[in-house]
Amino acid sequence: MTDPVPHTVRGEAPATPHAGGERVMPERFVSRTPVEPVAPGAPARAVRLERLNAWYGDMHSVKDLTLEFAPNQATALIGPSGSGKSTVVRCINRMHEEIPGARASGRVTLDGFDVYDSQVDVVAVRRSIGMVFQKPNPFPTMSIYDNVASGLRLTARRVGDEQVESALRGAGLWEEVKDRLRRPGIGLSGGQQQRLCIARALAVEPDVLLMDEPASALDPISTLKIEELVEELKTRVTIAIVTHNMQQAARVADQTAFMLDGELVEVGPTEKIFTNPDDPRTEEYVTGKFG
Amino acid sequence: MSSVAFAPISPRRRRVDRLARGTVAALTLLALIPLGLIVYYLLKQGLGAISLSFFTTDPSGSFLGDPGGIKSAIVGTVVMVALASVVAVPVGVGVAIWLVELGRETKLAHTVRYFIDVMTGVPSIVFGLFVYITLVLAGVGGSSFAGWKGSVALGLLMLPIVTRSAEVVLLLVPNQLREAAYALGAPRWKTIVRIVLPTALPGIVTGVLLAVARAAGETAPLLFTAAVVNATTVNLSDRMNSLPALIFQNVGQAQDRLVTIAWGAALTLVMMILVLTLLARLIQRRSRLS
Repeated sequence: MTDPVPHTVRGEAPATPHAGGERVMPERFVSRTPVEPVAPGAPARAVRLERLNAWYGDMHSVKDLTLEFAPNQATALIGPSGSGKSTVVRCINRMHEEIPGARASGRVTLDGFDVYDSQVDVVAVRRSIGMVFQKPNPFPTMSIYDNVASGLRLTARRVGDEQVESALRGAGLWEEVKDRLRRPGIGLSGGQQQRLCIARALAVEPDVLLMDEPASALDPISTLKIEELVEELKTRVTIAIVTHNMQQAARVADQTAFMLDGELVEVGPTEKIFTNPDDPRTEEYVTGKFG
Repeated sequence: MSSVAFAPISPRRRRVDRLARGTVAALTLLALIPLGLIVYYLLKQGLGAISLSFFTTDPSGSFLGDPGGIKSAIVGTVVMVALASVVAVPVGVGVAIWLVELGRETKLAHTVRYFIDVMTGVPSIVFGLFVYITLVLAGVGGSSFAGWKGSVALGLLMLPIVTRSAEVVLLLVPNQLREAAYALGAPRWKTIVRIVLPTALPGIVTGVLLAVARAAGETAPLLFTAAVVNATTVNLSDRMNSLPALIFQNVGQAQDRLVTIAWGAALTLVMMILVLTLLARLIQRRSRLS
């Protein structure tokens, strides 16, 4: 399958950055020292997938996928169930390899550095690339405050009240929970729990935020809040959002990628994908003929 | 009846429902009868033996005079079970953590699980025999029968119970929590220590307390490891008395006074285990799992 959109195709995959030894692995990837966050106002980091393949055992679920996630933009991955959307984002922060029997090949780069490089500490990768899951999963033994702080504590960093507040504000939850920070996180409503999880991910100050169907378990109003949040978060991070809700993709994404059976069918500006796609399969999908 | 087309419940369905409810209730009562009888007899026979001196004096061993109390047996049971727990609980929980978090579906994990199942099924007297042969007859530690050897037998008995119950609880911890921690950049060991274990803790404690209760009530592993004595001791290298062993010895005696002591000791043991079980239930009620 050739990629129909030229700007994601870049001919030969460049040599790995460390191959000639001319590029040194940045400290923040190799060591577990705190990751330097992107300075406020500076662009977030870009993620690039090159010929990514992923398997679950014998099942080839992502096939030769090349895609770029532009900094400070939201890229939506749409496609029918089982098309490999979630697998793609799970490959970006190397969560894919946590599943027994799962493996991946190809290159995933964050600002040019291969996150699959053998020298790279997987833990450091995940600190730079946050993730929000389909079902809200706050830690049940922890308070709201501790949930937000958990990312920093689990990675052996100090937590200040102001960091927790800033993360909760970033997730649009501060006003609702500021008087009950010590109450259990699981006492919140589903939508609030999901925003708590977003706050937890933000507290680590990632460069990229992966959202795997973040609103699919939520009611319409909570969904709307999450979508508004995505718009705000783009000022801080690069966002990859998996969704099977096409309206959601149309509302939040700058760029949309359509996947089918593990292959990238088409990627382009969201408006183009939904109004004038190049590939007939994309058109069939976005107009609801299948999926 | 209203005009809506809901058919009334047929008399046959009502009869079947009543029959099913009645059967289940009757079976429940049937199952409760032995329990009620046990508690009744324990109280009837045992309460007479109980007084303050019953708990504060050792068995006298005298054939004719005052038979004494059961202090040494209570102390011995507490000490031996405590030592067994101190060793068996961390090891058992550790094995469970390995099975769930690291070993998972590997061949070694399956083998370990299989042997734990086998160990669960081993009669307690076999653990006693094993310790008798390897530690008592061999005179390990310079003595034959010793409290710590009783603890070893009890610990072996507790190990599979602790492991199995902890494994079940750890499996209940939703995988999404582990994924959430990994996605935050937490290393695996920290995910286990800070996320998985605290979430599973109430359940693990329940399993541990049930294993402790089970060990406290075991006679067979102690009879030929710690033996039966009269004097109170906290020296684990000495022979050590225990409640089940004292009951076993006294109940076979020809004197009613000694049999009464056995009943009193049995009541004491049941109460101790009851308190432990209630504690386990209380903790479980506060659990967010299960």
